[in-house]
Amino acid sequence: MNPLATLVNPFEGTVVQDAWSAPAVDVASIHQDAFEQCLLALASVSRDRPDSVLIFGPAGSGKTHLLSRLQQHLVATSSAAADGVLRCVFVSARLQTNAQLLWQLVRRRLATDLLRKQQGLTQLQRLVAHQLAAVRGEPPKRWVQALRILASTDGEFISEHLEQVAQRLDLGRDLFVALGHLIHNRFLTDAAAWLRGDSLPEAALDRLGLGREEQEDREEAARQIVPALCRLAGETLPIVFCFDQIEALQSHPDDRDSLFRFGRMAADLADADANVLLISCIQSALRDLLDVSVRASDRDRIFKRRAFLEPLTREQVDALILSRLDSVPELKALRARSPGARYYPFNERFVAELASNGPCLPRRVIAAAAAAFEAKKHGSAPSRVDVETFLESSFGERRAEALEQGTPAESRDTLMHGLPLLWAVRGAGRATAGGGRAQGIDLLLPSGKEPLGVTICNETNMTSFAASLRKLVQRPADEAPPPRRTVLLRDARLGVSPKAKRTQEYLAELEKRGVRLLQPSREALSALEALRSLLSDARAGDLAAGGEAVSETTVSGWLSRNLEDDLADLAEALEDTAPHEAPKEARLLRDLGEVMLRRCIASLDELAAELGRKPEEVRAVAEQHPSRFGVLQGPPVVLFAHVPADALVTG
Amino acid sequence: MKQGDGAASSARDTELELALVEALARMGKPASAAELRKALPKPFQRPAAELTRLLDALAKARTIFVAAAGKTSRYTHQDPALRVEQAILTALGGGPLSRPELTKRVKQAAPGLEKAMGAALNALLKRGAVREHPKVGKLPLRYALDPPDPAPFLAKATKEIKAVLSKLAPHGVSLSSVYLALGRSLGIEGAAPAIEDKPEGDEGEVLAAVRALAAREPPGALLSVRAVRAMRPLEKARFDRAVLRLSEAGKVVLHHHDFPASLPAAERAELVEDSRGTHYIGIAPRRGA
Repeated sequence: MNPLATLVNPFEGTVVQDAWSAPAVDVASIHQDAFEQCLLALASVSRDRPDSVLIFGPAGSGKTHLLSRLQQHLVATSSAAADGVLRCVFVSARLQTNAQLLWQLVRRRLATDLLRKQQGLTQLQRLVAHQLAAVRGEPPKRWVQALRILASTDGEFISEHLEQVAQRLDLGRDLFVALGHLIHNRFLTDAAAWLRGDSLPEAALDRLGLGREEQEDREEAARQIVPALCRLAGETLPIVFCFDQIEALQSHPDDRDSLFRFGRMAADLADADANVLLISCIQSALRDLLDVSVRASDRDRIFKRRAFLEPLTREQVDALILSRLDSVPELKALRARSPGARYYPFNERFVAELASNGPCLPRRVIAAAAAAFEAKKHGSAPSRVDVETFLESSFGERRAEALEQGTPAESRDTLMHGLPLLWAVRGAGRATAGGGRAQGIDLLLPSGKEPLGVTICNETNMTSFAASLRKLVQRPADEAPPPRRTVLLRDARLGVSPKAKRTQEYLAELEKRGVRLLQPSREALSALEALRSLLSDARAGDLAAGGEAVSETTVSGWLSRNLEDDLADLAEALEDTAPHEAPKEARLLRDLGEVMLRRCIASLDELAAELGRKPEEVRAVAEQHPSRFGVLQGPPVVLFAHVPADALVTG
Repeated sequence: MKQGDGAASSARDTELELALVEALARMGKPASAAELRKALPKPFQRPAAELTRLLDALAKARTIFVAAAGKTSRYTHQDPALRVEQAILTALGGGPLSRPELTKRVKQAAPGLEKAMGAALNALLKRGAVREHPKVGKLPLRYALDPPDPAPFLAKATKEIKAVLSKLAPHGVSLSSVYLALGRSLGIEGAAPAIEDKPEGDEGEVLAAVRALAAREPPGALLSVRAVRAMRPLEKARFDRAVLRLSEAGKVVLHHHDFPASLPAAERAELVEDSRGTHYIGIAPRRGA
């Protein structure tokens, strides 16, 4: 029997998903120089000297792997930290978003990573423990222990300290209150959602003791919160921001504005505190565009150090192959039986060829070795990966994941980033973010003779929802007029409370002016999320089939030829110029949607009574929207909320 | 034969194959089937004909290699051509060597494979990985990793030029005028041709441009191929060739563009293209080069 037949292929998996994923195998000599630059920069910020590193590398050269190595290094050397655990706050963000929402993405990533637990405490709690220790002149370990045990009982001293810190660092009341909850493990879900920048209902804000969501511009709010959190962290520990997939910000390959915005955001972060370290990874192909897009003064602050990832040398290829081969214990044992065959089951010529087939990149080497190993296992070379099949399966996996895990809080990002990409895939032209000077418009999508204005209003909080509608209704005289065709988009999982009087009034007024409220189905949002994730990975060179990067053009062409029905329907619904429901029917649809979110299933008569409408009117609206409601013929006739089968929790 | 017998026999063959490869690696030099038989553990000491059959099969699958075919074939666990190439490159790492010196070093590093040296050396010379240093003065023809320093070859010419200068200096002819005249007679136009005429020609010019540009950027910066090209307006094919030679010689690192087809033809032409159609957009001096 072939001794390899039952063994795991040690070369499986060529793409490191993010900086928090531990790499299967790490060869320290590969990209050692770039790694050392990161460590030098970290040492620099630890001495209160702001620093930054820009890392260039072609697709598949190991940029994300390098970030992951840094994260692992920080964990491995954590015993050197004052508390024995946390050397610095580590934040990793893949920039898969619309550049208009960049600060919001950074806020979400920063909050998520601050709330990651290490040995029972979040990074945020450890941060505060370090500060408490510094104030009292005591070892941080003592306060880490104290927070672990006393977080809820010894709250007064901690709260008092937090208040002093909040005043000194000008954190603002709401951030101070939210931090207090998170340190003391109170209302964790809502407090964490607030820190991430999610819209919260009034009741949740009241419970948290936070003020109303008066900040209408969520991007501006994020721009204030993120530096405040940096100041908080920077008091005692360095804070490391790793930005990966910067190219995914671009709405099209020549898009300079997105890179300019990235430069501005990163420069503001660099200025937020002397303890901030920025590590940015970008594809070599964007080298020239980055230079002309980012302001020189910003470049000086955010790209202080430079590093590039070199192609592998023969020695590095050797080390990579041998490390991977020895990463499977059964294979290692088998190899030990034939010490003379250094590369068993490969031979020297094969390894030499891997090194000489330029450009010699880790992903290519690993993919070629994976194919060769499969051939050794099965006696014949594996069939070549068909790109179309790969894309179909990759799109399906991403769609299923989004359907299962996507939340309404994320769908604004999905729509803002995904719709311009969808328009480009359809060959319908380039979208404009921001809607020109028209107040309240998030996107302008080319459509026929005149552009279509899109406003995304996913606020859970009805006051904020009303505020965003007010921008459209009460347009200042000196503002540019809104587009003649405007659509409001709202996640179908978010209702519109009939009790929200102002919101309902504004909606009715806008509907009178021809503005439509469209609530995309979960299927459409999931497909849009899959589309943007696939295109972003392709643009960043992180989409590989058989070790070869799949280009954005290939993905775009495939998506165009195989556009999901849900996406085609969404685009069609957005562009629809046919007459729509009269305001009365539109109101009934909103109210029915809101009731079904609460009740999920109910008889038609009960629903009609609750809504104060005739059963036949309710039934007609339900039947016109099969993506949202189902109708059981009865008797009695029953309506239920439509939930995609793939989104149901199984097992 | 029973099915089980077939499987057992195949397993025994695999064990023997592993033992053969292991023995070859242990011996560290090419060996015949008879020599290998002696080196194998007792249970594997099969008749020489059977061993030869297995060795030939392993060689066919390129698990091992035939170092010298003929009446008595000799086998080795490493590709002889590659092994000798590596031995040559390692030997020359310490500086230029004459042919006998090189042969001696290769013989020590790759015993039994010295016959492959001629072909390996020719291949390296053809690729530009090894350079020939012609005979000069008392020094014989030698081989090295870097091109020869032209200074010793110009000794006689330099002496003559110095004589010309001493003869003309009293009549108002300066050193730079002599350089300019020399440059013109060698077909080099423009100011300070003697300085521009680096020994490495186009490669030297491009390398100088890369280093000059790198000096303006933070250490470790990836430079734009377009910017380097703009600094040294050579004809495209010459510039590309020079850059690729510098990369082969380990003087610079190149970063390729993943999807050059997405660029307009004019922009693509500004990149460096190699014989496989790979387009390079980034360049940097290799550390330590």
